Amino acid sequence: MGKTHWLWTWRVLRWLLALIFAAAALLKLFDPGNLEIADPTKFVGDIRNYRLVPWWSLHALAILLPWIEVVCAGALVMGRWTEEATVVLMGFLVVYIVGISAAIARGFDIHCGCFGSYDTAPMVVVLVRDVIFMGIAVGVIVANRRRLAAGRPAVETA
Amino acid sequence: MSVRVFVRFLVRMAALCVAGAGIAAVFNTLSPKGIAWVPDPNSGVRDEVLHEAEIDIDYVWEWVQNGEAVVVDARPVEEYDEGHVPGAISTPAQALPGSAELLMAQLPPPDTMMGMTIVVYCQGHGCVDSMLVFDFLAGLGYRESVRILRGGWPAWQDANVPVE
Repeated sequence: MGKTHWLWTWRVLRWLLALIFAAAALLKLFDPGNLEIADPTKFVGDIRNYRLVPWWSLHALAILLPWIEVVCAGALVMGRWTEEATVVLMGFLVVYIVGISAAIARGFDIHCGCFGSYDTAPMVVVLVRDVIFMGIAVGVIVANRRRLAAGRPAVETA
Repeated sequence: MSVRVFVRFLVRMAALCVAGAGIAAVFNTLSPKGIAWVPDPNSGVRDEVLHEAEIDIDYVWEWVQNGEAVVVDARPVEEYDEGHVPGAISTPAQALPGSAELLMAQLPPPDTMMGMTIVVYCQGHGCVDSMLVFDFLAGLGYRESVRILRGGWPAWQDANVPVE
């Protein structure tokens, strides 16, 4: 594939990843059903249900996580610092995948909370979904590297 | 990747996180639904509090038979209507505090519980609705009297006990 192909692969994948995380974050922050700011204590409850993080960190995580996702999604849309934003989001995905796997292993019947309080998908579906998102994130980095490599002049030999 | 490029990469990652944290702090401060950065340690939010609060079905069934428990169903009304623990009071967690009217009318004041226990349950093991009702009741002074049914409604259905 040539430079243009990788350029468009990179663009489509980063826009897709941005869309996923922007939707996930905004549905945690705003309640589209009632057109108002979402109640953050619901997201606190969702995080608490995993029983993986200490109680004192629950509120801070609920306050911080959605906005870091929004900023990274914004960087991906604009095409600036895309690899850095993707790696941050991959870090989140690793944590989510570990948390969801642990919840399944411990037999918890809980809501993911990934896309706000409307997200009631079964945990196994959530796990598969996050693995697919991870694949898209890897795709963003690979396409970016291929795009840059394809754009460089051939190495001259003496 | 040179060390310089690697450090620049890390700095940019940190910058993205700091920018997000900054916006989050402003949003949380200005939002009418903003929350404290650290939860109230006396609320039910602590894991050890929840661990202590969970109670096995055998005890609950004995209390129900002896009239020693007020059972609270924290699920949505539709799920309550499809089947519930005998005598359970429907108090949908997602509609608190309005949904607690009937419950509050039947509960004695916290200091006169006299061995009565409030048992909350919801859709499954570790489900959030029970915890929301737990926090709500703890906030009203019932923290010492409220327990959460381990395994929730599925555990009750699986056990050889009546349903309503």
